[in-house]
Amino acid sequence: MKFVYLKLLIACLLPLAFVACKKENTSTAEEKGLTPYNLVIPNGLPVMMIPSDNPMTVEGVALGKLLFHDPILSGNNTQSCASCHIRKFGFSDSSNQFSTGIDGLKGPRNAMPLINLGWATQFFWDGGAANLESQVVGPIQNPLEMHQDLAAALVELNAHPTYPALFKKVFGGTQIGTSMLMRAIAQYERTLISGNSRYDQFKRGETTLSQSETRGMNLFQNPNKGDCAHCHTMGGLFSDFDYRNTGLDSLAVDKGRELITLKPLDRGKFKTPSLRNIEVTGPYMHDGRFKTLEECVQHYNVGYHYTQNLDPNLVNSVKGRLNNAEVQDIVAFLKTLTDTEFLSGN
Amino acid sequence: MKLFYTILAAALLFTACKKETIIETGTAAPTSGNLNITMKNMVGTEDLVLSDLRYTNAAGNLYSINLLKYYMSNVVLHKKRGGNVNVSIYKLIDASNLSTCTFSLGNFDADEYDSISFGLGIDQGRNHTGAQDGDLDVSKGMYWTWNTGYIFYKHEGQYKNSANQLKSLIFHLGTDDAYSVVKLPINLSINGNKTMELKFDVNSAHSTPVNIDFNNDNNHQSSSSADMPWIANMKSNLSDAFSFIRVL
Repeated sequence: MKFVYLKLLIACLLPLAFVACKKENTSTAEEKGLTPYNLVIPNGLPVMMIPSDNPMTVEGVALGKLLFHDPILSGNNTQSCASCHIRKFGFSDSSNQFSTGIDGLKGPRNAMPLINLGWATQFFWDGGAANLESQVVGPIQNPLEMHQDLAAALVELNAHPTYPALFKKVFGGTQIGTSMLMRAIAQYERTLISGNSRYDQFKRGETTLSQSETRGMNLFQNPNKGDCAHCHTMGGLFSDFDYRNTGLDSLAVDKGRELITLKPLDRGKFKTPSLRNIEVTGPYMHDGRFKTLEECVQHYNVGYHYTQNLDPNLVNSVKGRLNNAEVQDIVAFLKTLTDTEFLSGN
Repeated sequence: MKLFYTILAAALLFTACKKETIIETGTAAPTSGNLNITMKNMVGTEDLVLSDLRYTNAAGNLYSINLLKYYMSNVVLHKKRGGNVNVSIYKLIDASNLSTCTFSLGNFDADEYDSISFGLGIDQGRNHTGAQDGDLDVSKGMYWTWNTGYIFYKHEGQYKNSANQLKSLIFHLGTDDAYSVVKLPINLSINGNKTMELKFDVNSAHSTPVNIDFNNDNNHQSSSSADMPWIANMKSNLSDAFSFIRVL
């Protein structure tokens, strides 16, 4: 009997041995006088995994939101993240095919929507950023975008009248470091959750879809018709977060994923984007070449090129498998993914 | 049995909390001391002079070094009588700033050490996120913001091409494939505070075993499949570009 107690004691102490050695920044939010952020996940979306080295707090999210909207992070203090990621367009850049940076230069790819990023695994069209925190500094540093030297950004933030105290409250330390900037903005971005579209309401039994929308939903999933769900996974996220060459060009103009993996087999591959709020995030594709959803669906119906790395799903598809009415039905279904509550939030 | 569990629990509770920087495996001696490493960046037998077109590599290219930065990491000191001391460290050496070229490995017990190993670059475990501090803060200019990962070794300068024209030289080495572990014989006896000088020979990074001719290889940023052969060559060249000088 005594042994049982001893074993119990050991069992209780063992986790302590490991917990005790965790880095100090994993002490709980309450211990630091912070309020844990209550992330509300809508029905139908999976559990979001929050990295252990960046727990979300009300104060951290608020700081990230402030930074996201502050032009201080650009080279000449004229543009913020929000300049090209505008909420009512699903945090994409309105109808601009390419966004214009602080030096008046345009980038080579379409500004991505920022929706449900907490479930994505890699970021940018080519997946170059390995996690959401690492993504943050890309646009800030990019000469075609916010064109800010990161060391200069830290000097500005550390000399600012209010930021040093806000950072210290959330992250501790005496100086603002780049990792704190990355963590704060990532915390805010994880709150950009869209899960209350008409499609979601339909799934919850709160509304009905029209006949055209219902036909579109079925075509979307039918492997012999739309075959969209192969990559734009049905259900919560509408993306498998994989990379594919969808035959936009017979010879890829933009090397895409190859720039990251350095593997020629990845040439012209780009990340499957989520389709949530797709109605308002145009123009479409990594280079914003299509203005309408009809053009997108027609690309997968008849437009794709039999390029070297063409995705096997398209290699095996039959061109012209959708008639015009079916294309319209799929577009009608895509528009049920618009979440007006999300788009009109603050 | 009871004793066993008590010892196990005590051992886990107390040893587990030691600083991860030093894991001692030998016995303690009274004359311990701090060990500094000083990196001497050189070309051949000469201390490095920045921004001067004065060097000639094995391929016969005249060249300059305007910028030279590299990461040393995960240092292991090997004891003559067996056993290792591991130091988890990520140190950015910047040839233009001598204060970065000397750094402490912490306190060591008195002992004899006959070799040192270290990573040139950042190991896979730490190379895939930018949210890191100290010398790994991404504002240090050794990080690709569009492709998460650290630049392990950066040499920027100029060279004279075969038509005698001055051209720019840009070597940014990185990716997991480029990470190498350098192992050097040393003669180190810890007895009080010590500073160990190690040499890095930039010319050796362009030769032995592979001669790199700047006429063919002059702009590599580890950003294209065409950079892969150069990455492999630099990796093997850098592995033997370091040597032990002396202990002070």
